[in-house]
Amino acid sequence: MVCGFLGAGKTTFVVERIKNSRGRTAVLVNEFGALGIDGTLIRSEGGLDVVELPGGCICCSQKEGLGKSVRSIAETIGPDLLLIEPSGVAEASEVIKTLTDEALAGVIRLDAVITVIDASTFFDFSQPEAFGAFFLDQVQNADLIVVNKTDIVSPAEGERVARRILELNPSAVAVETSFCRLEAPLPSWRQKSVRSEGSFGPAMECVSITPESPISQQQMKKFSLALSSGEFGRLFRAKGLVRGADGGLINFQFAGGAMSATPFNQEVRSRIVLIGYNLDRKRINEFFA
Amino acid sequence: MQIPQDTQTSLERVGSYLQGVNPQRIACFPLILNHAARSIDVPVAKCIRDGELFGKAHVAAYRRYGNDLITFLSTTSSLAEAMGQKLNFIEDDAPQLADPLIRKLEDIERVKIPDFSSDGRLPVYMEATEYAVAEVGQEVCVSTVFAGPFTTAAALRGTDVFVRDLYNNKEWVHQLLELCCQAGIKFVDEILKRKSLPILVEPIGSASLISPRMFSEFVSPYLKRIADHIHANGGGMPSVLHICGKTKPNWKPMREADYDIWSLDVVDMGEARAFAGDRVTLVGNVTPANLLKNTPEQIDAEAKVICEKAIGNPRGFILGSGCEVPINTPPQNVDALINAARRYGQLTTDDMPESLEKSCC
Repeated sequence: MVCGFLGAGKTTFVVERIKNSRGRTAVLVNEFGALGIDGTLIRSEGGLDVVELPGGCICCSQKEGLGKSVRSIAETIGPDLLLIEPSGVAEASEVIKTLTDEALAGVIRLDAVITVIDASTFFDFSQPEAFGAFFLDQVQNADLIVVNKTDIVSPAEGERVARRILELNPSAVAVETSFCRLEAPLPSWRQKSVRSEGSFGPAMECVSITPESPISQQQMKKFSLALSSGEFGRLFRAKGLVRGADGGLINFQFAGGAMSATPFNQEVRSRIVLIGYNLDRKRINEFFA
Repeated sequence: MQIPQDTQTSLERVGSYLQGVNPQRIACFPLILNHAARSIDVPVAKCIRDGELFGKAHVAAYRRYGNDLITFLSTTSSLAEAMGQKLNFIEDDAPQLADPLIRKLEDIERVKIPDFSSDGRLPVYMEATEYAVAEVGQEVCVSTVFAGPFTTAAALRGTDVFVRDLYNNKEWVHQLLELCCQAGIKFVDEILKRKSLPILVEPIGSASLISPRMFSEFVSPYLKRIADHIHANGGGMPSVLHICGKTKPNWKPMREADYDIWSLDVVDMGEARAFAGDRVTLVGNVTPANLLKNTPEQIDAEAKVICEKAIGNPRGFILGSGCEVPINTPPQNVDALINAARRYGQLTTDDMPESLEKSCC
């Protein structure tokens, strides 16, 4: 699911993803009714199934529309990957609820919530009461935040944006881009010791999990070992908040082959995000089962 | 539990609220909109483009269900349509917005105050309203619903862009809202002329999209002008505001708009009662999606909980759906909702609503 307010660059992001996606890809677009410029852009990539989501109101009936559309796409197109681009003013949490509802069990698996933000407007737009709940909700519910247009902001502004993102969603991974494009070489297994947060590679996967149970120190060590040994796949980055055996939250970061873990004092839900290639979802899930 | 028999007509029941007299049981307003087409078995697009069919569908739905309010609305973009916005009609679903009329700020020149005898589908709305008032107006309240200035403006501009305009082009937004407000006031006049109740819906004013500060600045002032107009010209009719989605953060500025009846969606009715029950009659709020997918027993249980929270509200409570009854809702679920009003809505003296006569004749 790819979220983002008007002008953030989410359509560019979707187009980039389509270019680099493997297998059959479909896109579900909701632009409050008609397929607007965004849809046209995506459609121009060709060979792609674009489905518009009916309904234009944020009322409850729309949720049913989304569920119906996803089911219909699964039955008629059967894509390997479905990119869902909700309206720019959609509340991500509401769309997540629908997509993870048991009514869609076995039909779709929500791999990741990606929110694209415009670095040049984000700080102002993310102030309380700048907009309704949708804006912060998209950031707070993201697994991955693509900070776009970093080329047009000063380093100081970039820092300010990074701090704000951390305040809003400490467990998300943030990557910086310009034009949502893949300008840096792909991070590869060999390059894993190089910090390459400025790029987001094609065909890279993002796996997000919400551990139900606390994790002991021993499990944490095993997890770190598994990450660095490649047990879960070719890992580029991992980040998350997990509940320790004493009930407190632990903020861990995995980058460059090394794990760091620090206590985290705010009360948020546990979540782990892994980004990399050929990630073994089954094994990851089993580890936290 | 047996379902108690009704001893009042719908109109008598709703009239009790206006007079501060205890109705035999609480009223029930399932928001039957496009679902009405199912009652005459015609596709939605055909029904909502033909005044006679539109009217017949709602009268048939009333006769089938016994709902206490007939609500003419096919899309929240109908007023925008009459102001120049194009819609795409889908054979058996609600119409959708085509490309926005206002692509550039200067396109505001293309927006017109509608002529109710010719623009968009306003003649369809008027004919349907006249039909229903003539046919069943002696036994049930007929309402004709229109989108508020904020929602109409968003339809003309495109919601995403409009929300950004609130930040970047405030003065221009007020110019557009002024036009939409004038169109809304004209709508009220046309509806009052036809002895129907004008109901205003403002879904884009949901707290999901705009903050309380924005609501105060861009929504409340225009809503209040329309409420004042209804109070001054409505011959005792109450002003009714429906906002779907999440509204709680915006209740304070909503209250400033001075509506007599709030129809609410995703909120706790107990909280709404505590916040505004001394000022407004509450309507709601069985989850629309549940009407579509749940069983009648589940609908009954959900309605019971809502009734327990809201009955006794100082200004009264009306059971309803939080938003539109989905088109393909099984009829037995609408029956379950209305029967729940019969089961759980028998009022005692303590539950009697205060009169709405402050604003009514």
